[in-house]
Amino acid sequence: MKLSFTAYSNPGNFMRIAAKLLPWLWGSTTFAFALGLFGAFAAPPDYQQGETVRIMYIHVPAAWIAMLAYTFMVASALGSLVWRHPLADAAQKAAAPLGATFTFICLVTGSLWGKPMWGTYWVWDARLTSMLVLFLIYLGLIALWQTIEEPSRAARAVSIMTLVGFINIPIVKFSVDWWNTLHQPASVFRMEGSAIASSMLWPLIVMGLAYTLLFMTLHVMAVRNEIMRRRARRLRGTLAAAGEPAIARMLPAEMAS
Amino acid sequence: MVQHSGFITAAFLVAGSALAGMIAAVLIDYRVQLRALRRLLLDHSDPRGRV
Repeated sequence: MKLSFTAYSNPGNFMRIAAKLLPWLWGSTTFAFALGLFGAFAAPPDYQQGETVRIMYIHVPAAWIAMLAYTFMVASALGSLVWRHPLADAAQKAAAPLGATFTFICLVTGSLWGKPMWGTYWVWDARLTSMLVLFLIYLGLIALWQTIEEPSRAARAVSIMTLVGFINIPIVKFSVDWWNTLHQPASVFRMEGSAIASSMLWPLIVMGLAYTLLFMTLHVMAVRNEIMRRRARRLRGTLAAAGEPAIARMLPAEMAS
Repeated sequence: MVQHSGFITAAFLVAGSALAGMIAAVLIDYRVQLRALRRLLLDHSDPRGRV
């Protein structure tokens, strides 16, 4: 049997594969969250931070997924601009609100961790500021999707903006190395190996996996919703062109004219 | 009494609420799109009659 990328990137095939995949994704997400949360509270307290270190298990994976979602959007933007693929448009549009939510979780939980540890909720250091910029970029891209009515034109504009905004991702990652920050340097993904004790590392990795699975699950569902939204829009256009007055009234003004 | 328990609880509550909100938003959007497609297909005598 011949397998091809284009066969799986067909919206109809995507809907069929998504229907089969979603129960497994939900099951594995639930299991990973249960195991990760158990590990987060079973892990020993930190010798300096005490019990407050438990915030790490929800804060750090949120930061990873905030950057992963944006990198995924960049790949989709390339698919959208180079191959003009409608599924790449939908994938990009679906990932933006999810990425924004994970960035929001990272910012708020980081702030709640910062107050007892640093004595302040917020400081304008490079890591915190670049993460806030990432959140604002997400909001800007969501707003841009809403501004342009025609999906393919919106996708082109958003793709260019997404590629421009990618400059912020290495800044977020390496900000703690390039500048003198209050935020601690990288302690998991380092050339010298992880600086965290294994008893605290495994729950963090499992929570990272749980967040990744949740992002994948919700992304598959959101892409499916976007495909359905486009089908409904196209159907309204077809029915209105065939002289259905009730449908014509449901259309946006610019499409109906 | 656990030190800084208020901050820990608040962080878990915020993260949990945001994740629950995100899941609810995607599920509600699915129902809205499914209803819109069903209405369009069924009310206008589409021979397939399904989404």
